[in-house]
Amino acid sequence: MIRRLPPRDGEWIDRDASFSFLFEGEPVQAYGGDTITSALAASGRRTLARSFKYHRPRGILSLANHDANVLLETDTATNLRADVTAPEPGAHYRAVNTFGGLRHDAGRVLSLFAPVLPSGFYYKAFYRPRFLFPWWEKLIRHAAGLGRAKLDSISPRLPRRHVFCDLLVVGAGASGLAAARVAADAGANVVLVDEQARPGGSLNHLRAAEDSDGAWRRECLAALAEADNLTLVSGSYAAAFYADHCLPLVGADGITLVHARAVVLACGCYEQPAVFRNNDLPGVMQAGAAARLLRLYAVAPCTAGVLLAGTPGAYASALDLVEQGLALSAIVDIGSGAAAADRERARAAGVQVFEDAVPLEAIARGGELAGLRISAGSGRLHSTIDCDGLLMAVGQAPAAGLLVQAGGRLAWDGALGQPVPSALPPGVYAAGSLNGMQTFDARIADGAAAAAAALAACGITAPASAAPPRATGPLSHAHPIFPHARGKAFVDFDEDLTIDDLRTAVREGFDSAELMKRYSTIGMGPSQGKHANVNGLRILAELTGQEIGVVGATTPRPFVHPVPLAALAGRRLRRVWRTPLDAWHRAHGGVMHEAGTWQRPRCYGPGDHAAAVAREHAAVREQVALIDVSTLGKIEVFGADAEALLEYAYPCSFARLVDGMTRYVFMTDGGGTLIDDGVCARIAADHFYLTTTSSQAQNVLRLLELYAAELALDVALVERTFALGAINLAGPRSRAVLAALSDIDLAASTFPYLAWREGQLAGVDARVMRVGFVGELGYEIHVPASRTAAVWTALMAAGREHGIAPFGVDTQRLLRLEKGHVIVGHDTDGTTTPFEAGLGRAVAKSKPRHVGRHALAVLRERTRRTLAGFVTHHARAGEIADCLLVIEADRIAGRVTSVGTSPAVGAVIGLVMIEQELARPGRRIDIRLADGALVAAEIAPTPCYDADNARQALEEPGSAAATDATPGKAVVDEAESPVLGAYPQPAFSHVVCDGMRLARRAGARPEASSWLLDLAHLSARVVVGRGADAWLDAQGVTRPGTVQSACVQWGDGLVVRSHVDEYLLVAGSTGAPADTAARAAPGRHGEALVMTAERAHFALLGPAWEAILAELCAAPLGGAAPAWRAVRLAHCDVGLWCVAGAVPHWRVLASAADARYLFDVLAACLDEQGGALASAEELAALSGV
Amino acid sequence: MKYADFPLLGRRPFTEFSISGVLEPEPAELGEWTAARWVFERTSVPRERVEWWYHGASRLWFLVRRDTGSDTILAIEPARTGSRS
Repeated sequence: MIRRLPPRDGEWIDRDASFSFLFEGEPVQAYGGDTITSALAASGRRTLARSFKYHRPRGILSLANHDANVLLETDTATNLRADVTAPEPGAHYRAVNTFGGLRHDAGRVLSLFAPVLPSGFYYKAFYRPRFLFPWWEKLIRHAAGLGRAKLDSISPRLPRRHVFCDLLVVGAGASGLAAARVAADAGANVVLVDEQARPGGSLNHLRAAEDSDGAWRRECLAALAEADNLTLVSGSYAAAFYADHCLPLVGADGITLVHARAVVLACGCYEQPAVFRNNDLPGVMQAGAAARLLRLYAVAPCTAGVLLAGTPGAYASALDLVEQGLALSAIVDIGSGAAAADRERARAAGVQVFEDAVPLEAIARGGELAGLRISAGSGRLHSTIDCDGLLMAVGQAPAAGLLVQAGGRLAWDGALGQPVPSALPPGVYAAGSLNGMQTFDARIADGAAAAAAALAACGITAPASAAPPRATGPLSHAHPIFPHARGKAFVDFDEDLTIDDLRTAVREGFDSAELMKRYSTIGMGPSQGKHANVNGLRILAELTGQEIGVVGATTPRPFVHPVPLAALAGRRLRRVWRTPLDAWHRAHGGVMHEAGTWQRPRCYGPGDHAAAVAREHAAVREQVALIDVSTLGKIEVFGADAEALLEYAYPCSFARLVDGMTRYVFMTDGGGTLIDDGVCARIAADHFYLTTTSSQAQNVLRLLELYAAELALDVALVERTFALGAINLAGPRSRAVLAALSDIDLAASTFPYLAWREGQLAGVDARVMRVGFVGELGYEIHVPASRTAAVWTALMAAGREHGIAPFGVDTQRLLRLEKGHVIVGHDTDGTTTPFEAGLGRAVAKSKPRHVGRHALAVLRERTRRTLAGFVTHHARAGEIADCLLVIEADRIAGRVTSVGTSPAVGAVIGLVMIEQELARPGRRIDIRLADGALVAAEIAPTPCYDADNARQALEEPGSAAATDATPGKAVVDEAESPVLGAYPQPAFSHVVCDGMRLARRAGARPEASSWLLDLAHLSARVVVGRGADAWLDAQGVTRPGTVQSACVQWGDGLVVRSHVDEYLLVAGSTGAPADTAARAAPGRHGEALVMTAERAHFALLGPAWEAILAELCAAPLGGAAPAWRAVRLAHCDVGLWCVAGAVPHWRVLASAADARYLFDVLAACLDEQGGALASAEELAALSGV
Repeated sequence: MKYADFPLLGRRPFTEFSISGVLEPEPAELGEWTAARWVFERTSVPRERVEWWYHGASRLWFLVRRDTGSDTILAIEPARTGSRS
């Protein structure tokens, strides 16, 4: 470690922790606390990387991540910022974008091509001559660029957390620390963030005269460490400023989104380089970089140094560095404006001072700095100073990216030589050197004043303090730009842009800040102009003859610093809904596919898909089969105005729908477009049960809630989509199968087509509707989700003697196609009206008011298209697919919406949306295949199977036995948790708890302190209706008065008023009246309806959950207060509450369909945090419940 | 990320809501053209307006008075809390 200096006070390295890593194949020694760059500098290396375009050797510039000179890669990661990345012992780092290694990079010959690579080169070269385009493209793609993406490496799943605070302070320098301290003392909830590894900002490496021993900084940090209302986040940067004071803090562990009531921006300044020939040689660096090397890493930046002084403060900095061990031989004063006394002090310290000097060029030897040629003095005498280190102290630019994104504005302060904030939006405050403060005292006072103002805006009292005046002297050199007739003077080191490139841009007409940026790409590299923009503007001002204050500046957009894609991607959650039969389908060869959020079986294997569909088709048509239709939307509509709501929401009439019967219904929007269909059953005069299409369930519920609110109706809506499973049992022998399990009278005379009945099915409460979607005698059976798998299994067993088989969605689609039944959203699109879909007769003409009435009245007379059936025996008929076009006289006359090969017809049949005049049965149409060939087909009447519905009147043997069947012959006595089946043996075993089968993890980590438990066995009820209050009162249950926000807890049980006239009761274990009520038998009690809640129910115990909930939930949960919160958690709508008591913990109620997805997400998060899954008994042991 | 304080719910991110447009009661008299305008015409002129916001987790609708010019929420009230709440 040839350049390592003796230990010093405040250094960041740990000399006891020495290790080595590889750089370009060579071993490098490092200490703990080193960055890769500091360790390389300590080893004496100056050339650390190659530049983006010309492959020039590059070394340290800022050592503060304000440049992208030193980008390295390993086998798994790329574009590592070596200036701020800690080396890993044994890792092998290489420079990115080299050909044959750093030292012998063949790409350096590109420098010779520089004359033909001016700015705007892409636009010119790619334009003319055109035949050269591929050659240029290949060359550029190969030569330019940064690190290569590691396609075979696995990127980490980084969490994205939400944090809510009163005050966010960005920057932990002098002013930031002062601001945070004031806020912390005032009791505010504060987050303080700094991009450096340790707080302190420039105080760490540029010791202020007033705090030369660092006492203030140490004392301040100690006080902040004591404050438990302050969170200090080091090594993370605030990457952007979004609406409502939302700032993403990006760190190695992902993104933390801070939502602050007020923000103090104490981001400081970026030191700026001077522009002169060869200013990019390794060895030329900013004075701040040298200070960091000396103070933080105890590394000598050079053996013979020269300092370029451009500000009055440069001399003091130089002498401070000399004190730290810098070998400084000369100061080249380019018009610093420093006092004569400063120069004398420097001379007294043995440093030669060249006054009134201009740097002509840096001289290279072996690609690295060897000297500086200057002209100095009134005689403009040229001289050469030998040096291996050139330190630029010429000024700074405010780090104002966040401030501008927040809506603030800057104005150029000519006296300071830099822009200062001129306007700030509410709740945003600037402090410190960003705000034009210079001295230590001024920065501290400014931080305190900003914090006081910010706290006042939050309504928190803090001692008022006055903001100090801004600095008056220049903080930057006015124009540290020294063009050279030949050779490159770099402005933007990222993009290899020189003064000449900017001159070209301006000459070619791109003469405003924004245009010059886009044409030359200045400031568009990885450091986003941090070291380039101000010099670029100075050059632009000079070239256009304007004042720097009026040329403007480019808009800094998010992100102010590049953010890894892995951090942006977050955890990549993918929500999947599973029906209660999901595990059964998978275990029995179900070919699962995605249907929206749902997973559904297309058919059941094994073997060929067409053969499977044909097999299942035959089972439905000839014997009996069953399909899982749990995905159907299901809604209870209950209350005095239930019928009025439906009459308004649907264009169909409900007047003739009597108790015990169902009818087909469809919904349109205000424009008369068909958006949903389903079945509506009238349970009672004031009670209906609706089904919707699988994809529209939440939308229909949302609309019904809207209409109820708009019309101020007395109605309660309960979505039961996930609480109930549904099975369609269809086929000529379906009645016989059902009869063996049910006490419902199934005789055709008492249970006709389109009727519904309630009763026991295998000992489970079931609602059964006679439907004909697939065109056979059929029963749609709705049972609680936890019992659905058991009922399905019972049906399979009872149907074995009748040849029962399961069938999938593809088979169902073919069956209904034969019946000509429309699938809304498949045969219809966002323009289809009921009249076009053949549903016109069901649009009520006489209803005074319903959604879409006006549009439908107009559309009724103006319908030009219609859905029609077609049939074809053409040889290529099998190639007809959905969405192929119908061609009539060379124009488009329609399109195919559904197609299939019908065993009933023995041909390919389908539906087309076609011009009305072509839709005559027997009319020939031509369907254009994907390759352009036309296939002839013939319009056919629908349905093409069982047109007179004779199949619904079938009286099969066995139906008479219905009344003789023993009810409850195969009684289901065990329910299933919705997460069951997710985890194969032997990692999980099953336990039975309160009649509910639960998954239990075998061998849970004994050391875990946080736990996830499945509590699906705990009974829960939903009580709705205007009589709900009275029913709860009669049960002796204390009920909350307000909707949503309030809840009543006893033990670990809960009553929440979850909606208007709706209560949710969750049983605890204390025996309170509410526990009994939560186990009450479902049914109607006067004006109240009691239903099983059937939800996923998890308990979250232990300290790990605070961080996990902060990640998965964007809403502030407000700590562990015992309130009910209906929130979105990991994309799921859930209810969340905190149980007080012996072991305070969180509870989550989610939909049963989300259960396994949510359980997986929670378990994965918990696993990362070292927690474990546990069983209900373990919960009892843990919580003492 | 934008947030607002909602009655009954507390501070919530907008991402928990779906927005269904501006509150515009059905005009008393609807001819073909007035009906078409009522159904289809929407203006995006910056102004103060009342919007329907739906919160999926609680199934509650809110009426949100919002100034789209300054992008500020002026008032929020639940659309329906029942006769007895």
